[in-house]
Amino acid sequence: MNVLILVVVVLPIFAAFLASLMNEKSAKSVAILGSAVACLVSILGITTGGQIDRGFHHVVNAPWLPKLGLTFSFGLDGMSSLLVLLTTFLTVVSVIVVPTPKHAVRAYYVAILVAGALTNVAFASLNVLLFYIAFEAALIPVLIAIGMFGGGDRSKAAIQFFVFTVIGSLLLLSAIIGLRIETGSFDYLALKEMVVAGDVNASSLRWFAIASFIAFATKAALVPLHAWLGRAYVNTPTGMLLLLSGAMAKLGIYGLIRFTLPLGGEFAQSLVPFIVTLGAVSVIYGAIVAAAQSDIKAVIAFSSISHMGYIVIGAVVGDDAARSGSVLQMLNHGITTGALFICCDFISRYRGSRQVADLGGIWSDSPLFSRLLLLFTFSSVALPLTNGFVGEFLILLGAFPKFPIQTSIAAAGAVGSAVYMLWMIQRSVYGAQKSDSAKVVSLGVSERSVLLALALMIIGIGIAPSPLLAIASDNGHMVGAAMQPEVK
Amino acid sequence: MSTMLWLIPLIPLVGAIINGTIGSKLGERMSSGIAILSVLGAFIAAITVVSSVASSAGHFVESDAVAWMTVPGTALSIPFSFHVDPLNGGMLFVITGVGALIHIYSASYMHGDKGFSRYFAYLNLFVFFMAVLVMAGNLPLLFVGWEGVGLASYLLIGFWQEKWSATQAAKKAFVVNRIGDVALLVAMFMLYREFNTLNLYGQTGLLAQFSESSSFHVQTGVATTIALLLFAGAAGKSAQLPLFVWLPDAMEGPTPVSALIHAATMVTAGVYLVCRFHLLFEMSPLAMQVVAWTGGLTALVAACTGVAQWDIKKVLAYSTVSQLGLMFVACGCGAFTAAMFHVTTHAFFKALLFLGAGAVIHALHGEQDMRKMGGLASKIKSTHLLVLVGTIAIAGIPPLAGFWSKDEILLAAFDHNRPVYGLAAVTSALTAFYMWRMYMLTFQGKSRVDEDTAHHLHHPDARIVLPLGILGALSVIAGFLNAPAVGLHFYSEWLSPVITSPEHSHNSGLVMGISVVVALVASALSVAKYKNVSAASMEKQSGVFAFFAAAMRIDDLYASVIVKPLTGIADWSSLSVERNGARGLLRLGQSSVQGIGQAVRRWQSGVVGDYILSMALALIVIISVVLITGTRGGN
Repeated sequence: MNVLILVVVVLPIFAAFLASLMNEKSAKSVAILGSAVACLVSILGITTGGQIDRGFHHVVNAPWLPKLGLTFSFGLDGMSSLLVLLTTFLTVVSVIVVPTPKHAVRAYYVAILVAGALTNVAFASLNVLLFYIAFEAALIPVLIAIGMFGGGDRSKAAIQFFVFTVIGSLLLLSAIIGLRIETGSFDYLALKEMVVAGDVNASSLRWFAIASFIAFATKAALVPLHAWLGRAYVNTPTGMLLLLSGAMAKLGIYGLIRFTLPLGGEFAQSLVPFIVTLGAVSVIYGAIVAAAQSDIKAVIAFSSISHMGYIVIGAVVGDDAARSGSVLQMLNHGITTGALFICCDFISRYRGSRQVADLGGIWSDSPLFSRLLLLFTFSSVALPLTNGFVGEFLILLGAFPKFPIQTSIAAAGAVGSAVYMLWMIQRSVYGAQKSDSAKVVSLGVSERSVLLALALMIIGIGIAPSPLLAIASDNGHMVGAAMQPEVK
Repeated sequence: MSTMLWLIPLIPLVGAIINGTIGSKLGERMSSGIAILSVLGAFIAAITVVSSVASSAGHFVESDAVAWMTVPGTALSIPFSFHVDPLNGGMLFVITGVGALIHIYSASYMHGDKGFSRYFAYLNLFVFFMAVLVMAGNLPLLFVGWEGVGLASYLLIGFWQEKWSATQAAKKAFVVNRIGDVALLVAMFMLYREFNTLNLYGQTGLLAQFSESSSFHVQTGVATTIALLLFAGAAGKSAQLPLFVWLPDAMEGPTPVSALIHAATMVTAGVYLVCRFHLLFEMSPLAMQVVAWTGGLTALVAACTGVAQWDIKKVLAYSTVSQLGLMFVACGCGAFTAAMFHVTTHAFFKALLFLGAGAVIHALHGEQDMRKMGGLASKIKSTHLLVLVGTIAIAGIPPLAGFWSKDEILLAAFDHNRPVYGLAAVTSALTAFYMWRMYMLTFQGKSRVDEDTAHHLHHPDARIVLPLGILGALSVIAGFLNAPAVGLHFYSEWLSPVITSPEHSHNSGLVMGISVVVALVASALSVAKYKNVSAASMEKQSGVFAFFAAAMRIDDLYASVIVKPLTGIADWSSLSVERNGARGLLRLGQSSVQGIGQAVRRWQSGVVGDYILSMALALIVIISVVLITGTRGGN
């Protein structure tokens, strides 16, 4: 019995339970402790080990509702262990860094811890139904956080977010059920073997491919299924937003790589040109919309559509380098966008506004913060020697031979990101010092250490991405090919 | 030797890190000292490396490869690795040598600025990236330097970041450069698809694959496409039509920055790229024509514009665009040696002119308008003398450096592309004209400097005069590195392992004669016209003059044809599509699934409890569906 995954999943939930019973101050300590231990343990997860089954490490199998075919089946390959690490890391960051809301502190921590834990259940699950339940349930704490702590437009944001994702999710559920009816199994590895062996009827695979694609594309905010994103991101409180944009949106990409393509049969392959085209459209469209925002949080929010477009292209294009780049870029996006959202939060607290018209001159007030924000900006525009370049470069390089036109269009997104990010920097950081803010504002200790750590990761991954790429390149597909001969 | 190669970029990087982190606590002497020494260190390392290039059998030295981007299970492995041969060795001299001089000059020029250490951090960072650019052993690493110098340029143009025009110019430079960068990226993707490698050197490297024409399996169409994409990248960095608009604005940065980045080094990276890939360009006659014509037209347009400027730095900026155009004329006519030679001499005399202009601006407490100068020859004597040397050199008057390198270009154009020769010859005449105009307006005639400034002229100190003096000497003698007319071929022999120079042309006497006459006549006309120019005549501007003064309104054209429509699309997407798109899609859902529609309306009460309730309801529904179907599936 391998405890690693259980610790990563159960510990935060246990911490959440404890936190709900305690006073507000100790609730924070418990939340930090629980998430930090889970993060440390998940680092162990990326070193291979534990019980190994068909390419997955740390495999756990325990019955839950056997009649339903629902089991606690967990296992990690390189891709999912990186995503679990990303999720636990972002959980720690969001409980440490963002100032506590003024009311219902305990509920806030519980929501974050539970959201992180459920996201990890989804990433680690080898049972398709369990994946679905976690995928769906992780929305609840997000909705609660938006409803209780969100921005001014929160009710509209919550409703749109809920309706979009639930419609997608119901489609996914029907797809999973369809497979179950056809094959009698929710077990991912068994399903994959059957699909690879051609034992599953093509029409149910076709429905699975379409329905799961819509669900995952909605989650990943692929244009035109992105419509929920702008309002939801802007109104989500920063702590939860780190998880929502950094980790949960990645469930969409993860789903495409893990489920839609391998279980969707030939029909899923035939969708690839269409998905790649939507990815390229997302890159450009996201950049265009980001450029028209006047709220810096909205700029970053819409830039996510653009970044996710690249990641989708790399995920589906069927090239090993591009897919590894895509997995790495999921991590990079979590780090960089998280850092940028933390910066937005800092700015809105000390300036009382996120509108560029109210900003300017931050460099003189807060030099260290401004330098860090500049670095995050250049990571976001994928300047070489930052993390963003490695991911985007590998994605585009790998995708070009098959889809030269879409790839070239996506590459042109590099101009767009320079336009909106540098505009944001110019209007917020540069410019004359505002007379009413002529005081030095420094980052708090926790914010400073977290932002510095993120900055080091950005440079570190930019200079030496190979160890992470080695892990990222273990993403199930080669395993699928390797097991083909064994299956009759 | 491998260690030495690493030291060239890494010493300035260390300097940048020190100044960027603790620089503000070090004081000006320490801060500038570290920056200057780090570039001098790189210069010494470069001398060592280049001398071992000269003595090595293969005419190159290489560093070890250190892992950068490696994807297991694929052929993709892109390392950090450096390669120096005669082509980039020469550039390293200019980058670190002229770089060191400009660092020394800056220590005086930037004295008292509150961002003193930040300035030196950026300047060192630039030297780091520029060294990486030219030394890179593969294209992605070249791209590191390529975008890195763009970053340094962005930071330095916008160095006075409280000034709106400065940050605006910085942003414009980065964005316009990015357009070229995308083309370069796509060129890389195509090269990787065709050749399965992005390494430049070695037996399997791109350059070796280009040179083995027998194994060359790429169609001319593909070669043309790749060459044109590379050239588009070069046109961004080297400020050619239609992407040259960022360079004049880049003059918002401190003047030594203009000298180093926007005249001597970074802007010549495009010329380096084309020369490095000359084998590919030579495969495509179309690409060569495009390069030659783009260069020729840019040279002419910028020269016309230069004639109409009043800002001393703008004259030099358009002059740089124009001279870069001539370098591309050389490339497009197959005279890659001449292009690189002009890169070198231009680095000397243009850095000299910019630093000289900086000394003038410094003396006049920041005045850049030549209408408020005049008669400075007797007041700042050393600066005057050295700017005069630079003017003679760039005007193409023998025997100074500009004459020799420009003559090679004109000769190649005369032999290979007569119409482009016409453009280049007119450009040469205009160059002589506007440079003498600048010289006369600044140093001769009656003083138009206002009384107060005239009494408090800021006299340059040794840290300003010394770099000017060295650059002045180089501007006089550097032409003799390659002066075939007097039997000197050092430079073309030095480059011969990489680039073979064309046969000696029998038209050289004729072309040289025309050049000398043109340069002298244009210079004389200019001197005569601006000898006693009256203040009143400078105010009235004819339509043509105003048109050229506004750089032919190309900026306005871009604003109304590109920027405005794009802004409109962005606003429309944001205000209409994004604001109502979600509701629109939901309405669609409502009409098709009425139940959901009703639920949505009910939820608009906005009470949190409702969401949780609905969520729970949804889960119950879902689970019951699963239970029902699950049992059936199990059977």
